[in-house]
Amino acid sequence: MAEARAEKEQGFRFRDLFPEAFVWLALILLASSSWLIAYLPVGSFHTVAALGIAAVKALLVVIFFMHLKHSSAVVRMASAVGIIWLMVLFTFTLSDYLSRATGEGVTSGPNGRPPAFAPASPPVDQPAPRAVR
Amino acid sequence: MSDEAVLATHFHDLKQQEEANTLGLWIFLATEVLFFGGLFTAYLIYRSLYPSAFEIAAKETEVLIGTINTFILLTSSLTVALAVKTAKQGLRRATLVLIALTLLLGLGFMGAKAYEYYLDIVHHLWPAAESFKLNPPPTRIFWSLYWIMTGIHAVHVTVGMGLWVTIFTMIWRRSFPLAASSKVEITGLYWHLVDLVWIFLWPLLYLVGRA
Repeated sequence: MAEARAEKEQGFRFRDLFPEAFVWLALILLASSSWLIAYLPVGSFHTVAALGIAAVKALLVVIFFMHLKHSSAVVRMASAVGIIWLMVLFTFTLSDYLSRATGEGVTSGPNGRPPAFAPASPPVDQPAPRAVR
Repeated sequence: MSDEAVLATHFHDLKQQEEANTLGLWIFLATEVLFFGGLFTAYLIYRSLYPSAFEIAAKETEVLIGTINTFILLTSSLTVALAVKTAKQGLRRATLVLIALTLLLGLGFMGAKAYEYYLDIVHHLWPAAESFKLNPPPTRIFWSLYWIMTGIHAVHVTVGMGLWVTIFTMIWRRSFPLAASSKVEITGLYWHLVDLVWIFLWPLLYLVGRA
């Protein structure tokens, strides 16, 4: 037993660095490209690129660093639950906000008060004021 | 100190016990995802309502510090992933070194963050202040979200570092069987989640409105 431990204590070998080091390299390259793209004149592609790259990085971390690749089905389900409920939260919240006329182009707020700042763009049609609670 | 893991009475075998530890931590991480999810939802709503104000506001963040911190956190995730691996192999010294490196990277992150907050205050970017320098007013919403989201993330980094100090001390004192325990692994899962949150915070808070 003591010998076995002494052998184990020999330490860290170069090949122990992999595949984690490759995953790290991929993460660094992705982060660098995300940084670069942020300064390029690509218009609305910015948000898509930034979030797409972030999603790929997150997948790399989850699959390789958090070992979802080798996890049991029940652990994978638990990890999916957070994301699924997050998508429910995003979807239902946005279905409300995106179907109302509020924001930068609106002259008066939903409860009939003027906005806190002058809009830059012409006002758009707005729905009937909601009842004030 | 024995190298054998201790089986709690309510588990059938060691494999089930370890699986339960991992599963429990993942369920906790799901609640963390939803906790930060509320803030990301707020960001989503206000950015869709005030896109140009968000671009004006995000341009004022310290992009260099934010990017350096991104690289620091990604690297700390590597040292953690390797620490989990060496712990599984029972490599005590390597695990200690890797946890120490993780702590140093965490300190680097928090140091850079503190300097960044100092710069933000000096540049009048506290949204409740009279002297807040940006217009139109919804830029204050961005900066409120910036302080709350990065602040709560920094709290998580601090908690993670506290956990690593505890685990480091326990390994140092040989107070649990390294290879047979899932302590390093589940602490690693928590640290990776903190990294994951930053992976999304960085492009949303720092890389907007740069071109």
